[in-house]
Amino acid sequence: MAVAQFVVNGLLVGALFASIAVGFALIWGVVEIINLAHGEMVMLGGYVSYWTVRSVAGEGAVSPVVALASVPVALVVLFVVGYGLQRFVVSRVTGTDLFLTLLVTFGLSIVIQQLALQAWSADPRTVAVQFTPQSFDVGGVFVPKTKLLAFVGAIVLTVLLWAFLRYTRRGRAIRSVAQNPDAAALLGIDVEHTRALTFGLSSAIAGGTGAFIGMILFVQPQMGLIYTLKSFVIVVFGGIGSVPGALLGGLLLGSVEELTAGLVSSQWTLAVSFGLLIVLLVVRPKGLFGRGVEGEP
Amino acid sequence: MQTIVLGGSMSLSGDNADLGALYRDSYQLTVDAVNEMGGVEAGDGNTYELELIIRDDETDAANSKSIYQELIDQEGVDFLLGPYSSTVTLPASAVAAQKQRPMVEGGGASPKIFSQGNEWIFGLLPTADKYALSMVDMAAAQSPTPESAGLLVQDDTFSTSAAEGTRDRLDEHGIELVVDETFPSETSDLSTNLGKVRDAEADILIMCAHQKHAVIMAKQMETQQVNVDMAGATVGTLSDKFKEDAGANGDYLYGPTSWDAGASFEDPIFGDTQGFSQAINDAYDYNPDYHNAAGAGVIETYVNAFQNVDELDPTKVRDAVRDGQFSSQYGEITFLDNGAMDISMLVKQWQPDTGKVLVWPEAVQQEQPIYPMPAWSER
Amino acid sequence: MTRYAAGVLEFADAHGWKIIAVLAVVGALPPLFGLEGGFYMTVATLTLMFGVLALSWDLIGGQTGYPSFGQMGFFGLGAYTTAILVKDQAVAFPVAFLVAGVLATLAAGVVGLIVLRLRGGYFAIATLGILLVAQQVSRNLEVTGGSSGKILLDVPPATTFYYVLLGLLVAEVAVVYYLTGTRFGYVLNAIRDDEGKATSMGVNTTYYKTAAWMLAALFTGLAGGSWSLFNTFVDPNTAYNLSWNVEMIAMALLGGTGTVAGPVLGAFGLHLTIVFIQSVSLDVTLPLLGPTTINFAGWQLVLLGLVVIVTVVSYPQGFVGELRERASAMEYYRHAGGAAGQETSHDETASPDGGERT
Repeated sequence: MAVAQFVVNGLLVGALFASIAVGFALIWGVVEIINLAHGEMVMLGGYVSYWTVRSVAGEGAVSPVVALASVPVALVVLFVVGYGLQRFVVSRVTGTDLFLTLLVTFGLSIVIQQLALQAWSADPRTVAVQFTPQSFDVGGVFVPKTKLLAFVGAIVLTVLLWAFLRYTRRGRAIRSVAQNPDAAALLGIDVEHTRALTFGLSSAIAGGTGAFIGMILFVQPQMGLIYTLKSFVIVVFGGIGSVPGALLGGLLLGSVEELTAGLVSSQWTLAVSFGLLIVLLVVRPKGLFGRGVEGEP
Repeated sequence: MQTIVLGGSMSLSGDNADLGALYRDSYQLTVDAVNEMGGVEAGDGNTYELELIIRDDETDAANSKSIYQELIDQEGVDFLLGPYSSTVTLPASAVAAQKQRPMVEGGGASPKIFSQGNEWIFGLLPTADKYALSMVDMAAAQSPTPESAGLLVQDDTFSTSAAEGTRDRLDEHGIELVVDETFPSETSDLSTNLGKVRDAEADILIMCAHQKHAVIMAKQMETQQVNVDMAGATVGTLSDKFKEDAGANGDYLYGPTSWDAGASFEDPIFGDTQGFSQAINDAYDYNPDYHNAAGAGVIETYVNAFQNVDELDPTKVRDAVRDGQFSSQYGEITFLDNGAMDISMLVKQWQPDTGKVLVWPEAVQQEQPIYPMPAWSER
Repeated sequence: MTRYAAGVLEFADAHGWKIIAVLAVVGALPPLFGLEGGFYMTVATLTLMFGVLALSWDLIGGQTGYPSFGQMGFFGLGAYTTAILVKDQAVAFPVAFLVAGVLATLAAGVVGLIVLRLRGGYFAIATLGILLVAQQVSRNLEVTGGSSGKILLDVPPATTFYYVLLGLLVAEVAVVYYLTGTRFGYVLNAIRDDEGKATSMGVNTTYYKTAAWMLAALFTGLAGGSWSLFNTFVDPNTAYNLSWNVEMIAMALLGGTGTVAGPVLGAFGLHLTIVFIQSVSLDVTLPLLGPTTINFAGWQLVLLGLVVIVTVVSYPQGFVGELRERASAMEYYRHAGGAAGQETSHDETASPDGGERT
């Protein structure tokens, strides 16, 4: 019974990891960038949601509808931010050494974090969502409603992204740029725009997830790094550029973490996650569904 | 008039900026009050004006260290005011020892600070291991007597020290520790650990952490349906901000404090404790808590020491601090040989109708503790 | 500018060892002439330390093409080793110092078996993973003091560490300078430029990679070993500091990766700039806020981030790299840039295209 609760906890939070990792995977696959500033998109989305809710509903807890309404706002704002970042800054190092992209995006993440800190202080912000009672009781396992809302929201965002990539023209353009940018260019696809679009979409979904995180946990300027690092683990597991891989990886990582916390100790969760990263890189760097990229043995 | 400069680093931005501001406000208020009274009449026959230099260390140990070095080497500061948080105070105290300047602090409670053989550090807060003791004592004195306890510990130096003291005291009362979990500071999700507390059917829950986690605990105890007779945290449950963030979930929770605004200790600068509270209210428009009181106490400790030396030499001032004993709005200030103060915590509880009230020790309680806490389904 | 650049490089190539010796002597002087313990000493010592770190990183990153995001792992290992030995086991500092170096090198050997099989971005991430795991482990173990770390009150005076780090830097510069002039350095660069080709030519790339990796770890570990005592305090967050790892990479980039002087110059320049910015404190009167003191304390990280971005985007070869480019532009001009058949201005002292070792 206890184990069931751990697994449920893990899946609930894992969906959030997944929707964040999906964007990360996409950027890696399409724009060929390891975006170390991805976590900051999550953070910014959280703040957008928080300020939106505050300006509309003031202090105190809000209804689920109001909270949910802040998500599209976060999506839009972060899309614009992501698009802009790629178009004006990151594009200058796209196509060069992967390691240089790591550095530039790390620099970006530092700048964004510090600006956020100066602007909004480090006070943890949260959006309290009103549900009465707070949780569903499923045979002794407690499923907090806000977390369930976040879970569903994250899954919906992920599926929407996947459908977009699969079924729309723009989506197909993105996939062809991922496979072969030169061929795509020959076909008349505006590669630069497509890459920026991808960055924008990934940042948007990360921001939307950040909005949900603000509802169940906290938003703080320095919260981003941990999500970026977990995205690494998930994408290496699931495969670069793969949405299903990231989804599965996220759910699994969440479960592994909570099981570790439950059965061993929460002290070791991070060590386990990062240890997994190394193991996966060595054993199966291609990931479950992904294709290999340059630098792979 | 000559000037004595008091200098230090403080958390003015970052995670602890809220609390750091309380110290800075108190420092400034006290220094201004002293100067308005004509300055310090030092034991060397001169009267001095006090000047304050506070720099932002962002609760970063490396920043803090270099700030103190700079203050000592560049600005010629001889008398140091400690930073906030044990994580920062511990290395900062090493600078004081190296440079042989006294440091008085009201923001670092880890016993490790005082167990290094450092003769230059003095702290006004009870050491971390004492923080939860009064809550345990209080619970043990209620009926039904608790038989089991759950302990959740954040993995920073302050919280782990607090946990050590707590374990010993639980043992002394014969309360069985059924859950004893440490979690990383970056964790924002305590569901799994709280679930363990629920499954183990612990009677009381003590969390050794900081304000952020206290809020999470308050909220997630409801979502995870964790019903205990008593729940408290070592830091953070008693601030107004906590109640704002936690809302109704914060009701019935307990927290320790080393100082109560309603006390009436005599104070050479503010008259008495109430006078100090009034001064803070007038100047800054908020109600002070023990951080404010400790901050003011730091300045007052120096003032008292300056009055009792025949020369403003760092070593002599240090000795005067150690030998000093006087009454202040904070209570009686006197230090043990290792530089710490020997005081116990009081316990307060948020009660739905009356707000934050003093519930322990029984001799000074304003209200009886509401024990056990009502179950979540009944609220 | 190009003439100047070429001149500098020629001079440096011809007199490399003498320059190193002179700089070593110059570096030894400040403490003898008034630089005592305290703020300036800290700045100087840390600057030397970053020089060691940047150069170590460059050995495996810039020269061999394996950019490590986990170099600080060895730093932390060295730092904790000396801290634990000196504080808990009452070992003398020099002995602890050597043990730290040995341990770091051995650890590198073991870790290298795993990570050196990966390339480029994957290698970078794997090393990042190592750093993070190391940080988590030292947070959870008793012997390392957990999250509180260890505090050391009884340490040698600050001047000792200045000289230790100076010596370390001089030694490392000498070693790297020597290696870049030998086949060893040549092979490292070949691995960086095209590992596949190097392997197909029969070179045991594994041996060379691992040697460079372990050598870099040795110096990093020794630097960490001295730092913990110098700092009188070691904790998981500072000892396994990702920011510093990025800083050392930025320093190497700024100065010029794949060179000897580049990382050192970059380290000195960037660190001193950051310290300067941090200590600048202006008293101004702002319109709405009245008299205030502007302190840049919080902004040095923003600066670091911007420096990283600008360097990577606009100046990936760094300062020394730029020098070299301009110098070789000059060479081209002098020897072949004129129209075919025309006499080029002769310059007998121009060195033929060899000895690009600065």
